Amino acid sequence: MAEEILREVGRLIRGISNRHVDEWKAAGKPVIGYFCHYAPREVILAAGALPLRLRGAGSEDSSSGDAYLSGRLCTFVRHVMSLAIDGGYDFLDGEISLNSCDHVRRSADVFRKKTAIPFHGFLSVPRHPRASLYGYYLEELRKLLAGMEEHFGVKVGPDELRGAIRQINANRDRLRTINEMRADDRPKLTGAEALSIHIASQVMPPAAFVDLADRLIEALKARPGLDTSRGRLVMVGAELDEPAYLEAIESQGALVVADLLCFGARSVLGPLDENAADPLDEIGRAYFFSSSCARMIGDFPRRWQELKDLYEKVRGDGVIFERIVFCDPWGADLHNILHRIEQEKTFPVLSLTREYNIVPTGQVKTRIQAFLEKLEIARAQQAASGGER
Amino acid sequence: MAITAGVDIGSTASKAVLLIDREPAAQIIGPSSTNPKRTAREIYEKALAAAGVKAGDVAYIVGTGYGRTQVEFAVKNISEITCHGRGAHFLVPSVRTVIDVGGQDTKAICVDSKGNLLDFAMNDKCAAGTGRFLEAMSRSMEVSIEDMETYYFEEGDPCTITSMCSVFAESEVINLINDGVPLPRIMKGLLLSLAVRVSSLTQRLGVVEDIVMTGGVAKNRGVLDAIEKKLKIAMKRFNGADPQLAGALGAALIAADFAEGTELGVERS
Repeated sequence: MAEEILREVGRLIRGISNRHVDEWKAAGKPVIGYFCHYAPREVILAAGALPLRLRGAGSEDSSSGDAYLSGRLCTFVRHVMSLAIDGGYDFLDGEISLNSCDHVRRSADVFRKKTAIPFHGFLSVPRHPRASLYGYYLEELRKLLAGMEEHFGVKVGPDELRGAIRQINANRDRLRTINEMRADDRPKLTGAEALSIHIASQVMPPAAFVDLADRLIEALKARPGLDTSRGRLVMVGAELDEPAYLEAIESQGALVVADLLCFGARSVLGPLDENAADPLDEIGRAYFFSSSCARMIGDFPRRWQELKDLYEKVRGDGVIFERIVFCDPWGADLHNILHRIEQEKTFPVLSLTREYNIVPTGQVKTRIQAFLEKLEIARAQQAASGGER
Repeated sequence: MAITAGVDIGSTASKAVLLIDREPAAQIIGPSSTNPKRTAREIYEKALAAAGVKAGDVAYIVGTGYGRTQVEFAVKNISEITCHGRGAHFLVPSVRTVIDVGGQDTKAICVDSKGNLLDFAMNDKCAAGTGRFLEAMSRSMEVSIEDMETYYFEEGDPCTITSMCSVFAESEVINLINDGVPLPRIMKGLLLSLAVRVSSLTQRLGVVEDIVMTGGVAKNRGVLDAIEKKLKIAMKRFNGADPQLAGALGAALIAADFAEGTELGVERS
């Protein structure tokens, strides 16, 4: 039963669109693509549009994107833009780009010049979640909302925003339950499966996701728990919407029991106040202050603490850090992470640098297997010397 | 009498080592093929025949190398990183850093005083600094890999090979040949450029002596000399043991541990 629902999830995220998006469009409602977590889904939903996370899924190559974007830009962005340039995203009624990083920022120009998408929004997000900078972000949200109101001919008031908060809160509630189930002593699902569900939550209507997630959670309760004796891993890093990558890691015997990935659990914010007097401010504060991506320069101490807390909470055995080649913000975070690990002797870490859309080969699997063996040796030696795990 | 085996299916060569009471009884090296399952079987059978041992008498087999999952008759597979560390430690017990230059990648491996894996760094994205690099250069210069060593130790200052990429380095070599630059100078430049890649990987891990080099490329004394020059450290030699067999040897030693019911990394009582 759970397997059947998970296959359904797999079908929903295989490409950049799915049957739910088609049904939404068929009902005459707009779909807006957004590039990054800092574009709040609630704002898009309140404007009557379906927020659809932009992905490169199904892209065969990035050649069209390569024609306009430097080869030193991350391959995630180049694949997304390749699909967009080739018309793959022409079904969108709008797109929202951001200055998440210089690579994503550059894609905004290409969207405007080289696609037929009718609405273009842009959200400028400060580089530090300082209280003094929050007003700027809130003003950006107001401008974005005003742009959508004008383009789509809608009026978004507090009630629409509160309604959207309720819907996305319901999504987050299910995702939190799923994240608890994957972190059990005997997890009910793999890390790859959990990531697939997180991705699905970002590419389908919230109500449809709640229905899917409720069925899945119920089915998972009856599923036998998985063995984590070869290692409980925590994954942290940049954009990763490819469950196959986690499957390759888990094929070596360990399980990814938690993550701080932007397509994954890092985007699951705490519940927002559904009755807030100023719901846009409630949304703005949650996104600006609660979730820290490496692009938030200067906020590393909080991210480090968050990683340590999560590692302890899920009883991790090791951390896998991943980033796409040329991703500078996460490259800087890796430097900081390695420095802190050396200082604090916290946990073993394996760093993987990858390209988008490439399933790990034998060499990556060798690195993962050797990392797991290293953990296994350390655990066995600790146990033999009478130490606790 | 405990008989164990390690079978290492690498990208270029496949190796099998048979141990009787932890002492090498047979060691076989052969080429890898497009049928790793058959290669593994053949090389293992050759090792059995060489040691005069029946398959049924082997207590435990560990597969390693890129084709480790294709060693169907192995009880377990262990990464070549762990196996090379263990094998190198058996041959040189004082070793703490192992540089394994294989056919398609390079690894720097840090081991403890028992040969157990502590940490590693691996170059797996580029052929520069691997056996493939030497093979490509050997082709473009029409010089066998064995003769590269001879040229390396001849008189002459090394050329500077500036390209970090194997493909561009090959073009650079062709240009140097056409400019009439003597082969020994080009050869020194090439091996030093390989050494730069290997030493930077090793330094990333942190160089702890003693250091040894394993893998097929370690048979080339020119490469050893170039790496020593770059690291400014003398590496230990295996005193006659074949460095290419270190992975299979480590696998056979780990097989001996498992045969005795010991977990990976735990010292026998």
